[in-house]
Amino acid sequence: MKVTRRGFIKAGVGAGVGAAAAAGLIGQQALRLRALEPALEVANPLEYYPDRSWEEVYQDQYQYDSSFTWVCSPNDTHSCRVRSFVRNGVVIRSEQNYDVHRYADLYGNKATTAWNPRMCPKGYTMHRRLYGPYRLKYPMIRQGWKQWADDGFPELTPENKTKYKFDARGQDELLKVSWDDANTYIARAMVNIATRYSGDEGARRLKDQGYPQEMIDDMKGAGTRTFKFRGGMGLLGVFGKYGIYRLNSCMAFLDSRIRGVGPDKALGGRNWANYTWHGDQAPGHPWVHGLQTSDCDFNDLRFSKLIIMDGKNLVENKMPESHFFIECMERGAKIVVIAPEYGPASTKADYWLPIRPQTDTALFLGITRIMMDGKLYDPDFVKQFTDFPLLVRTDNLRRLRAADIFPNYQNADISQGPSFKIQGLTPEQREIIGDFVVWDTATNTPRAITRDEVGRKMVRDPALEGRYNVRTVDGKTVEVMPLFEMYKIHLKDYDLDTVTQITRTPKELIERLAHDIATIKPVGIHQGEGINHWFHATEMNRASYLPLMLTGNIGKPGAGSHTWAGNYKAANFQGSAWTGPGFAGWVKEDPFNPNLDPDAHGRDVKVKAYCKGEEPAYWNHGDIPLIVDTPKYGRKVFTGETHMPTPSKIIFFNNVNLLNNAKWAYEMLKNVNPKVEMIISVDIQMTASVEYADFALPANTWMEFEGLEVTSSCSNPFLQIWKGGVKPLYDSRDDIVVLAGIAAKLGEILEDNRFLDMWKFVLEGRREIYMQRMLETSTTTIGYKLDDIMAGKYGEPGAALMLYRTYPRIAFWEQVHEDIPFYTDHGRLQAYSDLPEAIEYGENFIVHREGPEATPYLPNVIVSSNPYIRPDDYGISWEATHWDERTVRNVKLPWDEAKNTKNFLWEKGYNFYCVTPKTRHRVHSQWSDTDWNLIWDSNFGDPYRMDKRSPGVGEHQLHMNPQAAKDLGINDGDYVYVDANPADRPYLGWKPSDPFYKVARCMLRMKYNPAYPYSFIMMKHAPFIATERSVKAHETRPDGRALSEGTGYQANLRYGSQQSLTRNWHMPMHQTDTLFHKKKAYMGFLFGGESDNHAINTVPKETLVKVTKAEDGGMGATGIWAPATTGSTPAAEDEFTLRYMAGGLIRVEGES
Amino acid sequence: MSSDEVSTKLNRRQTLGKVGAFLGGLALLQFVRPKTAQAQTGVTLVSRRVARVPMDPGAGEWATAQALEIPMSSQVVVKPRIYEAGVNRISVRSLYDDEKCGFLLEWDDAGEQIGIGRVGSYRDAVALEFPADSSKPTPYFGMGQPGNQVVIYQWKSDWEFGPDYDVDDEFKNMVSDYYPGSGKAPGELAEGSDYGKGGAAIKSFNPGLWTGNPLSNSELKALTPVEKLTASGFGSLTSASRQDGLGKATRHNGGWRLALTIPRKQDDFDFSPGKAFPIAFAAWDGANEERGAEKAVSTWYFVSLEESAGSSVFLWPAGAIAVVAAVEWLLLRRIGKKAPPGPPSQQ
Repeated sequence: MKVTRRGFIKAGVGAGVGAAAAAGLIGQQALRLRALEPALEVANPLEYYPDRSWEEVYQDQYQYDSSFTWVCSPNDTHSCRVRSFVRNGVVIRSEQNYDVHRYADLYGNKATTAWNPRMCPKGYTMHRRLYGPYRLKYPMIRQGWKQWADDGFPELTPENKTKYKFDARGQDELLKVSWDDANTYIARAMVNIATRYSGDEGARRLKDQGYPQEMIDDMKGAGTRTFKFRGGMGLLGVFGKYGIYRLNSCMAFLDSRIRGVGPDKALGGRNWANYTWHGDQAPGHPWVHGLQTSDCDFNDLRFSKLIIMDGKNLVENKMPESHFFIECMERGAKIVVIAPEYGPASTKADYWLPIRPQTDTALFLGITRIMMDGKLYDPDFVKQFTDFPLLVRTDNLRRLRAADIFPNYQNADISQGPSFKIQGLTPEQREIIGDFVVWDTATNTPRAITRDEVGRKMVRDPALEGRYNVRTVDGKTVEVMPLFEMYKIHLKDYDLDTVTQITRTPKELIERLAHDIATIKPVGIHQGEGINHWFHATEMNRASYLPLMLTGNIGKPGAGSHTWAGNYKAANFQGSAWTGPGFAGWVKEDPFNPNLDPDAHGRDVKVKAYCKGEEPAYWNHGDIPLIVDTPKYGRKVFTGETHMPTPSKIIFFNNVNLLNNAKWAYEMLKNVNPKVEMIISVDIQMTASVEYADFALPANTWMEFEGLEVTSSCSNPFLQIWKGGVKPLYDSRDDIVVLAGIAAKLGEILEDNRFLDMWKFVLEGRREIYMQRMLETSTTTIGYKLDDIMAGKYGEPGAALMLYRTYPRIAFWEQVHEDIPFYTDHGRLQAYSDLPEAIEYGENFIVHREGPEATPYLPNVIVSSNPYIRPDDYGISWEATHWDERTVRNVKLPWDEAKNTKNFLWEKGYNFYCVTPKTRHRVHSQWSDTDWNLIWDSNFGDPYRMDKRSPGVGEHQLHMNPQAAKDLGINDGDYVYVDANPADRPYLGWKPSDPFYKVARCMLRMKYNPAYPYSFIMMKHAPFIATERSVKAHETRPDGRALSEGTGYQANLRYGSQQSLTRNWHMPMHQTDTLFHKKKAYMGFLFGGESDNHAINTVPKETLVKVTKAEDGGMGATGIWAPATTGSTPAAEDEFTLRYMAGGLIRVEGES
Repeated sequence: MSSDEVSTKLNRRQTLGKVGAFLGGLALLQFVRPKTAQAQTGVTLVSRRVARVPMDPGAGEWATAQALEIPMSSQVVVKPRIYEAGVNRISVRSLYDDEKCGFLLEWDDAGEQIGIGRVGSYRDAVALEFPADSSKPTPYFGMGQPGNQVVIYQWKSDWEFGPDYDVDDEFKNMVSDYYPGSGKAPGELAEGSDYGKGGAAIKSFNPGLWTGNPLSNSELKALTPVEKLTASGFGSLTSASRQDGLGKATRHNGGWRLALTIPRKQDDFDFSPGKAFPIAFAAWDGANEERGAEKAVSTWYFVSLEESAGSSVFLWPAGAIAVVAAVEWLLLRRIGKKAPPGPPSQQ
């Protein structure tokens, strides 16, 4: 309250009058000071208040009738076991189970108690989701789709698409239907659609619909190949979620029947990827060590002495386990953050390297140069475990193979070595990869080297430097040099001044980090979505390994370069030649030879892949691969055959809000999905994906599971098996039962019991048989009995330790300590790729490239003058603006030239980088409609919704540098529009007059945030997107809520979403047929594509945006948002706040 | 009778009437006048006896009681202080009956504040205070003092209008996913006002209700908008275990008009006629964000209940009047005998 002089005098007079009156009336007693003494002097409240009965209310609150544990298994990397307490049949609260110290393995090893406690606020509010109003309560079918089915599935001509609302799914009604009817409709549609697109007639139809021939050819005539099944991050429920791929295998029966083919030619559908399509994978990892992903148990972080978070926020996004890196502070470790913004992780750092987005490759190349120039490296490690000593040909840029120079060379016999015996290398693969060559300094001659000759098994002392001429078997003299020597040439482009210009990182900080990496051990680098969500993540991932390869920071406690996003790790249940099929025995059991013996050992389960993996990115790109008409070569297909998609006619997903999470989502809804003939969503709640689906099948929540489910994690060693503790509230089913029901109905309709046989033990209520088979055949669980685990033999019932070589699990421990090859063709960590695709794209070296969109410079330019980078630009003009042309155009320029080029979008005013990281209050889109989480999630949380423009009890916000916002005339709290390239976003063919454009254009609240650089804005990803129904709702409901009528869907934005700004990018380096690497869930190798392993990674950060004011933020759309007028908000600080921030409110004794 | 006679008689009558009236009045005042202990002008509120104290603040009886204007000052003695309290004066009238003492309090307050639900919104309120034990020296007017308690009756606008108030009415757009104890089935949208409707079990999840905090007690609020409290100095305010105050307020001429009744029989004394009792007032202007110690206060005033007249009160004046009448009659007779005949009257 402000006190004016006049007010003070008035009050004084008033008080004086009062006092005088009191004095006159009742004498001096009233003025005695003791009257102002406290009524009670209480030194120790606990002594004074002997009655502590008030505490009983809290004890009463905590009373419960029973409790149970379950596993919170969203798409994080934690899988925390949670204990819920039940009172009167209702879960009243949940808390950490504090049980990890009891988890044991077969050998008596126990987990450290330091893992406790494990849980985050999402687990705490799970019961609000369980009991909340957004659950799917019964199966539903889209009205128009049902009519289409009832009309006999007529061909979906443009007229019929409109008639049955395939082009307006979001405006149609969802009708309640019984499970039996739902399964019947689904089964009938599967038969119909597979028949329609099978054989030559099917191919003709697809050709008429405009699909490229390559996609049609990949179907091999099977209509079932148009079925796309996706178990949302299947590890989150190995049987219920991954089980959808088992159902997909069953589609081979359908194909067999339709085409009349036998098991040798029958084909199931395509299994859609998860990890890669989420942009979770570090796509560069297979390029460095051949493994899908390098990660470690999180308690390994405590051994690091230098932790570098590069585009990774361990504070917000690893909540149950972030304490392990915090511990490092106490242990004397140094913490460094590399990120454009000063975020939560930076607050914990010893120093923060600000960096221009997507230039981390240049940073690490600069650091590598400093280390190489200063000889700050470990030559023994470099020679023993990296490809730096391998010779590279300067003529064709391929590695020198032994067969190139040694006449009649026969590959050395390594059949008894680890490549074959442990890693599952096949003779055919051995022939393809051959042997390599180093320059033997002892003999000064080239010497062949096999992939088994790593570590101490490398008997020669290879040269790292020098240039040599060799004569090839065909008579040519070719200059070769060790890769190390070549890198010295390559790194001439990355001197400190240049790197500073590229990255905008202060020079002294780059030098400091280089010095720290060179002198501190162990060094752990952690990259996250802040790296992996950029188009050139591959290069940034690869580059992070260079300083570690030089210093031997691999395969040791606290060391390595790891990546953290998504609980992807099917390899936790990997099979092997010596254990059996593992995970594959469940998802890929040969449907034509199912093992129906309940007592059979898992090793006796036959495995055969009738399905093929596929990246959803192709559907997400318009249901097409990457094919570009190039000036130089004409039509060129960049998508490798191992990646080639097929047309999408059925999309069936569970445990994923597929459309909400699809980049370029409104393009999917508007232009792509009308081509899809059946969309099925299995979920626990109403989502945008359900609103735009043909079927919604309600699943039980983790707390309601009626049978067992299995999960594990990529960041801890815990095997978790559980079932629910409360009865299902609605007519919902366990995921695995949903799948079995569809299979059973197909069997009934087709009178084919093989469908039922494949789900025999599920249908009989004995799913545990499949679980035991997996446990006894996985390399990490062999020896465990399900019954023992559930009986609590290894600690908490349902929990046990995975059988890892080390606790904590350390990536590449075997490689470094036991001289086992890495999973690359040459068995070494790889700084150079000689794949033909990599050479063609100019990425044989690890090199900095500007993004194809998110850059002020020429899109996708390669920053180099290295003569051994020889990319093909396909004759594409620098002026080309099409996204696919920018994707494949490979132009090499030194920085001095590159920095003078322009991005046409930047020139048009699209000059904000826009990043969409994960929020701490949701797990991607999960919890996006949970009221408490929404309130926490933004500065605009308000359960009272006093500003009824708020779509729910919270709303989405855009973080922006205050000065940047002010320069655009935008106040803190205003609503703003955010627009990306108008050529394709929010969807192709948009017009301002199109009502759908209004739905699709992103509008959200502005929040000033000085932590963000001027040209860098942020909005958290995966809010529940605006839909046609939610927009209609908030525009017509008296309370303004974006709550869809008829479906009850709660959107988080009034209009659009972050997906209005994103699009899919078909990264060529993610689509090779030649990359040699480890299979993701089996001890074996493959060349080329494998979903979730080497496949297109989604890169939503690859966008540039423009921000414009939409509405005032104040109540009634007038004036400034009230909190921004208090003097306590960024860029509007009053004198008091400024004093507070400057520490002026604290007076320190002895200081003036 | 001539006109002169008539005129003379009239003049005599008028004179005697005036005298008689004067004497009668004297007699009446002698026997009927209220007994005030200390009849200081302007600090004593005279409570008038009625058969039954009306609870309707618009009842006509209130107008028969004299109003006392109470100047109010901002509370600046203890923190948190306020320097420009919203209420400057309260007009008070008082009536009493056999059981109750009633007060009609009227004060200007343009910004009506029910004051429920919104963070940062505060109720309008008014309170009267008196020493708990009349045998002790009068305590400090600011919430009493250690060892010398005061009794306070506070009327709260939100208590009076709370039962009719629904938080969903105040916040028409509010949303909550789930109130465990709302009585709503899982999946049904609960409204904020459903909270507490789920039966006895919910009591455990409302610590205020469980511990007997009257602010959480919707049943009490439904009975009365007046809370009785005691205090023995600043920071010692305690809700009374027995609540016996009643009140009813209306909006009137841009302010509040409140009828507030309290039992004449208090724990340690009775409000009995013929004595003056210290009484003080406080008021909170919610629109001015006043709450707690931020309020307007008065110092001690007094309330004095008019003493009951009794039958003798009326007999003595009657006797006096009879005596006066007899004296007058005798005087008139004597005047009539001695007076000479006057001139004829001039028409």
